[in-house]
Order: sequence, then C-alpha cells, then structure tokens
Amino acid sequence: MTAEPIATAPEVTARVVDGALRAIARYGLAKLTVDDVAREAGISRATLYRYFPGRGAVLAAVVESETERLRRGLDEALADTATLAEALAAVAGYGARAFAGHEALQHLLATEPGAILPHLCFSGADGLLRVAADRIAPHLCRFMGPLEARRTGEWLARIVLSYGLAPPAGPAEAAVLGVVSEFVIPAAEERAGAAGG
Amino acid sequence: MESRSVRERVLEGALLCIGRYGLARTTVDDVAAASGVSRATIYRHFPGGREQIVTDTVGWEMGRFFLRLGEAVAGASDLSSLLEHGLAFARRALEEHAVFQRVVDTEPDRLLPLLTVESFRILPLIGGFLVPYLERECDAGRLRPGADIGRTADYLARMVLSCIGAAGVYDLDDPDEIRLLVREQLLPGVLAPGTILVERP
Repeated sequence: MTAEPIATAPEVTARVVDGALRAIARYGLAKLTVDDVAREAGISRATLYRYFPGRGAVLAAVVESETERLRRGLDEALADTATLAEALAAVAGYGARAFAGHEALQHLLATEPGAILPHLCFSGADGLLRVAADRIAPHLCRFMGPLEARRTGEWLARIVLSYGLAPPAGPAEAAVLGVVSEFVIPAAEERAGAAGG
Repeated sequence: MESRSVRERVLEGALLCIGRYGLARTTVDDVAAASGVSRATIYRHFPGGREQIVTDTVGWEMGRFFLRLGEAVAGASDLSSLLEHGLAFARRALEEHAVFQRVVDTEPDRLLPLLTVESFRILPLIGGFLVPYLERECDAGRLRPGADIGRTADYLARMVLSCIGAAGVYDLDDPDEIRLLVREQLLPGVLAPGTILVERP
C-alpha cells in the first residue's frame, strides 16, 4: 500500500494525469485499466474513484491537462521572442518538440495508431487545427491582424502535424524549422511588408 | 489471363466489398464472389490473405485517387492555377468518394493507419508531379531567389495533402477561400515577392 499524505482535488488530478500518461506510454490505451492508472499515480483505487468515475473521466482529465500544458509551453517558448521570424520559429519548434517528445503519444502512434489517428486526421485534424489556430493567434497579434494570425497559426500547426505523422529521414524538429525558415517566415515577412509599407 | 488484370479484378472486387461490408467484415469469400476470381487464385496473388487484400486495396485506391487528381489538373497553365484547381477537385472528389466516406466514418481506427502508411508513398508522387511546374516558374524567373525545387516540391506536397484532408480555418468548399489559401499561404515563400496576384478582378 502506498502512503497518500495529500488529497486535494488538483493534487490528485495532477498525479492521476501523470500516472495515466506513464501507464499509456507503457501499456497503451486499449488495455489501460483504472488499476494501472492508480498504481502509476501512487494512489489507491478508492481514492482515484472518489475523483474520477472511470476510464473516460481519467482520459478527459488527461486531454484537458495536456492542452493546458501545451498552452503554458507555448507561452514560455514565445517569451523571449522579439521579431516575427523568432516567434514563428519558436511556435513551430515548440510544436515539433512537443509532438516528438510526448511519450504516450509516440507510443500510441507506434503501437495503437487506430486509437490516436482519428484525433489527428480528417475531422480530427480539422478540430485540432482550429484549436491550434486559436491558441497560437494571440501570440502573433503583435505582428499582424487577428485573421492573419489565425491563418498563420493554423499553417504552422499543419506543418508540425505533417512532419509528426509522416516523419522525414532526419529529426522532425530540424525539418520543421527548415521549412518554416525557408517558406513560412519569408511569406509572413512579405505580407507584413505589403501591409505595413 | 495475365496476372495484372487478375490482381486488378481482385482489388476492384475488394473495394466493392469494403464499400458494402466495411474493412473488418470483408472476407476472402466476399472478394471471390465480387471479383469472380477463385479463392485459390486470390491466395496465389495475395499470400497474406484477407489482411493483405485489404491493405493493398486501400493503397491501390489511394493511388488511383491521386492519379485521377493528376489527370484532372494536367492542363493547368501555371503553379497557382494547378494548386487552386487541384485542391478544389481533390476535396470534392474526397467528399464524393462513397467508400472512403463510409469507412472513415465507421472504421477510422482501421482505415487511418493504412492511409498514414500510404502517405509516405503518395508524398513523393505529389512532389514529383509538382516539379515540372516549379521548373517552369523558375525558367520564367518567378521562383523565389535561392529556392530549391526539390525541397519546395516536398513542402508543397505535404501542405497539399494536409489541405485535402482537413480544411481548418479556411472554408475549402469555397473556391474563393481556396484561392486565398493558395495565394496567402502556399505560394508566398515559393514564388518571388510581387509575382503572386492578390487582387481579384
């Protein structure tokens, strides 16, 4: 039995989410049980069930937590950027690193692609691109209007997704940054020049 | 009867079955009935059996989809109109592809891994198709100075495939929005500054 010194909802949630991600990275999604999650989280089943009625609730918490983590990560990645070029590279680089470095995601892509690809392709991609556009756009608004910021944000997300799902020969982050530097930054600077004069 | 046409008959029959019964439920017997090819002959051409037939059929139909796309845009006058018409055609063709729509709706967990694997093969095909158009733009002095045609083709192929699959922020059922996407996102950075027409008559 593991000792559980704390039990506030946010703390339990954090442990459950971390535990779930570790469990998914190890066992995948199909066979994931609440017991696996509780064990990885270092809490009892009873405690887990007190806060999460079942697998579905755990997974929903994981998605919410990861979305929030991405948002914070994006903020951090953009904190020191001053120019449009730096901002675009920071967004793309962060996205590529987050995708490649996400152990649970990478495990699922390798061993249970059917479980995760519907969220990353076609209608899943549609939703994801729009969320990405919404999250990225505010960071680009200091350089361009809000509509262009959304479109540019979506474009960066498309690039990250494409190289994430169909990785190139070398490291994906380098390829993403290469493409952003070769095509996206000149395009954005050209538009900014045309607009601002 | 030559092997190729037998193989194609099986693939055609399998596509029919997948449209009718789905990926999981299509059996070799179904395919034999639909294609008029015996089980024994089918196994000779597809020793991996049902799984191989399903995988090969998805790959084959995806290849045919892009072949049809290539034919539809073959007469494009330049890169810009190629991309605009290509995206419009491809999105409509995907909408109207009954088997794809049914399977992506009911069995995305089975279909998407197959399509993702195939995309590794499709990307160089699309890129290869774009190279002559990029060369023409280069000869006309319209390519961005310093642009590498091979890398540009790879990038455009990835973005085209992405846009065919998901619309995102642009309304890609609207030809005007497709034109906007092509001229605002796809072509800048590829064509030289000042060569992309933004105003519409």
